[in-house]
Amino acid sequence: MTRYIVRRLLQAVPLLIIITALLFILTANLGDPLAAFGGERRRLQPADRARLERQLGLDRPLVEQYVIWLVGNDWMKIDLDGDGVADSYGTRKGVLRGDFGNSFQERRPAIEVIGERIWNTLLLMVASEIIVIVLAVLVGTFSALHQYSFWDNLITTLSFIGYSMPIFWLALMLIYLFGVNFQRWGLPSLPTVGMYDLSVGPTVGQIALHMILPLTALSVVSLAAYSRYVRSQMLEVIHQDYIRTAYAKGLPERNVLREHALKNAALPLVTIVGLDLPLLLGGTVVTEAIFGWPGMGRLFWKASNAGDIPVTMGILLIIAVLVVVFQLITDIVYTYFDPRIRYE
Amino acid sequence: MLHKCSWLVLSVLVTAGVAVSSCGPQPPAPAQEPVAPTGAPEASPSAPKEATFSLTSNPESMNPLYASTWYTECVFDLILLPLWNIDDQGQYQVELAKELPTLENGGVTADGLTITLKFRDDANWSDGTPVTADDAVFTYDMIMADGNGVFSRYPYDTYVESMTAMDAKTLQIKLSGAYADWSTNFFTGVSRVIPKHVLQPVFEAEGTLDNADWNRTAEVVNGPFTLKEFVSDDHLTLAANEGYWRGRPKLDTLFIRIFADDAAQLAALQSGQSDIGSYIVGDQIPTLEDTGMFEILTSANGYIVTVFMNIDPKTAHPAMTDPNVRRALAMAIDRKLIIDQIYNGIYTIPATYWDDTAYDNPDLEPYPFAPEGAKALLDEAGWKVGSDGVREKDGTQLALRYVYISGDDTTDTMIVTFQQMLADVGVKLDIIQNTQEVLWASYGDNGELALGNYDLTQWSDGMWYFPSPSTSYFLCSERPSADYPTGYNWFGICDPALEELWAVADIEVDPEKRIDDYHQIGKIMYDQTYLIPIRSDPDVWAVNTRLKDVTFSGVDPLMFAYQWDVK
Repeated sequence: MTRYIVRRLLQAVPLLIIITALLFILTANLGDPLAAFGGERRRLQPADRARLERQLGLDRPLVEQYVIWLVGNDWMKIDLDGDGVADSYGTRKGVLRGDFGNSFQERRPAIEVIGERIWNTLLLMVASEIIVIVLAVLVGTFSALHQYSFWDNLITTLSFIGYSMPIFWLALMLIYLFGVNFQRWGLPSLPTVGMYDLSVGPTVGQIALHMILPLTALSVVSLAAYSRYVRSQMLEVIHQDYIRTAYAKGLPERNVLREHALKNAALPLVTIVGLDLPLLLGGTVVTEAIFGWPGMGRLFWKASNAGDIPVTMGILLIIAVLVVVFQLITDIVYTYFDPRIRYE
Repeated sequence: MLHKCSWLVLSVLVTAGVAVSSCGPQPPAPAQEPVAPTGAPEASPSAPKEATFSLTSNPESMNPLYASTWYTECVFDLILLPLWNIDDQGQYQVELAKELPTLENGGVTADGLTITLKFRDDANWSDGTPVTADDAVFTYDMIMADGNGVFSRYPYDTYVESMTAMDAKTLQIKLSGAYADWSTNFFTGVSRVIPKHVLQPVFEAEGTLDNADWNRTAEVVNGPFTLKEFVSDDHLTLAANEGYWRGRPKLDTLFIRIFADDAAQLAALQSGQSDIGSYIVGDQIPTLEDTGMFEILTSANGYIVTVFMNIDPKTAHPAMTDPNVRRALAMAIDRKLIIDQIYNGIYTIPATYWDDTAYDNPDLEPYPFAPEGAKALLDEAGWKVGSDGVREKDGTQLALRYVYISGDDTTDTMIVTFQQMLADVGVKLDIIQNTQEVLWASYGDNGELALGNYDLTQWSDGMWYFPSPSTSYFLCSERPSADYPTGYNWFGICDPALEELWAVADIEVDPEKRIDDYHQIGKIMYDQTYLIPIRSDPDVWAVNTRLKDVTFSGVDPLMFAYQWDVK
């Protein structure tokens, strides 16, 4: 197993280099980053544009920009003052030494910008994923065991409704119902924006309260899809011969379901969750925007729209690394659910 | 086994979630359980006076050297003073300066090339250090330093020959040439003085201010409020500055909530989670007014929604080079209907680019809505209605490319309405949406507009250095090319009469003569229909009626925040 893990990790290195190179080319071609510079109160003059291109390294060939992003430029001389003579050493260290560069938009280290958001996003997304997985397993299993019953039909109907609802619409409806109208009707209302009441501060209670609506919006849509998936997997498994055999041996139903049916039905779910988990870090643009949640989804949307290469690449790199790592973890988890799987 | 594992994993993750909430980079505010989930705080004699203000975009930086947006300027109005503000009546209100230098008071020399100004004796940084001329000289040095990736060096790089501290409170600026806009551009607007005693050691140690902590924390400021906290894309917390030279502001705490979405801001206003909304869009106004909780205020900011046209014969549709066709397009659009139906009638129809300023030519009326007149002009220009209802000439259909940045629904609705109105006079509009990075990229980066891949386009545009009327948008020298890829004149306008007038106006130091110059410029642009002003685009604010004395300026939006109070 150890050799297998080491081999997979070593294979990941060239894979990540290829992925980041492709992503860098795509990101750099999203548009002109300097087009997003300049606000309502000040325009970028041609001289400023030329200077900023030089200072941000955007005047260099794309391959050179990628190499600098990867290994930095503190080993090479650059033209800082625009006189055409490269006479000063650069200051960037490159991602391989932990320097993701400075955000073009926020003008501070990209890793700092990303770091501020990761925890907020993880808090929301991990909580949502836990709720969804637990409820999906319960609802999906119940539905499968009571196939074509009233409750199965009701759950199926609700699942399709939940799955069909655009998340932005659902989020706005939740806001207007529980945030605006409840208050108008004199009922206890829920906060609709941010992570906590600014007058109170970031207490656990405040954060939990502010998570209710975004979590609901996130969970409803995912729950609908996951529960359908669990239902179909369970239906397939509970009609297998080994389940019938387990019943024939006189095992109690609870044991049959828990030890044999659910464990086997969970295997494909592990694959999906394994793929989902790294993507959780990317947050969700719509939910974060509507509920004013300062997370990675909003950041990625803003950075990619503004051509903020350091931040966009930083987020993509982190997600790429996590995809590789979680795929490895998923493969290892398979051995628990299916003892026939061996990595030798 | 699985059952036990699930609960174990769940417990670990929930614990981790709670730990994350407390271990993440959250502000160190005192922990205290909430008393109520939402709702505006009720003011009582003993309660702190708090208000929440909404912004719909994140301020870029707390350092003016790295800032360019209106949103950031709003924050600067609260924490960093300019030399002077310009109020809602267009009057200068001094802040850091003792008075506005003029020819009469000796602050400006007869040749207009030397400006001497005095800083107030009672203007201090929030740590008690006096604001001095040295701070201004340091700011200028930092703008010009090669190590700093500042947003813009303009106009300091173009017009300032030297900046000298004559003594602690006297600053002398020597100009390299006459510059009419110095009073609206030097250390005013989004350009402000930064604290030398805080930032000089950083620059000396690192050779740059790019990564200075102060850019985010701004712990030493000189405005009516001090910055307690800035959480990007979430909020800012500001506290009354006891040392503000006008005296302590009436509010104890001002929160700024940052929204990414108009609808989210609207919901927060309706549910009392925000007291003052900014950039309120037209269709939200009746919703807010219906609550009975809000007063809607507007302030002219120099912006108008404008249809720009490509008249470059090399890239534009052949019809666009004809002023009569352009005038016909203007006359075919019912702007009043659009304002009334889409924007609830809150905007006005401008006649010129300098709408609602002294530079707006009072003799000019907005182009009338006259579809029959438009048809006659198009007929006269030789564009006859074809079998499919679209006009054509010499085998070419009058089908124009309308390229714009996709965004809000009201803009989309407005453009579809344009399409219908122009179809009524036989002009076909092909609507093409794109992104800002693609449309507004430079010629060198294949920007669609810079390359001339359009006939009509639109955005809300304002005077670049409002309230200065100057712009180099329409100069021949600003047309982009392979040799000059960063040019901004994407419209192909090159009018010798305009060139001459602009050259005069840029250095005209007599305000009255300058106004007259711009009236002439406006007349030429109007007659040639170089652009179609669609509607005014003032700042629109929603103010909760629990607050009082809330007013705004179009130039320096929050300059009166020190007066804001809770009823």
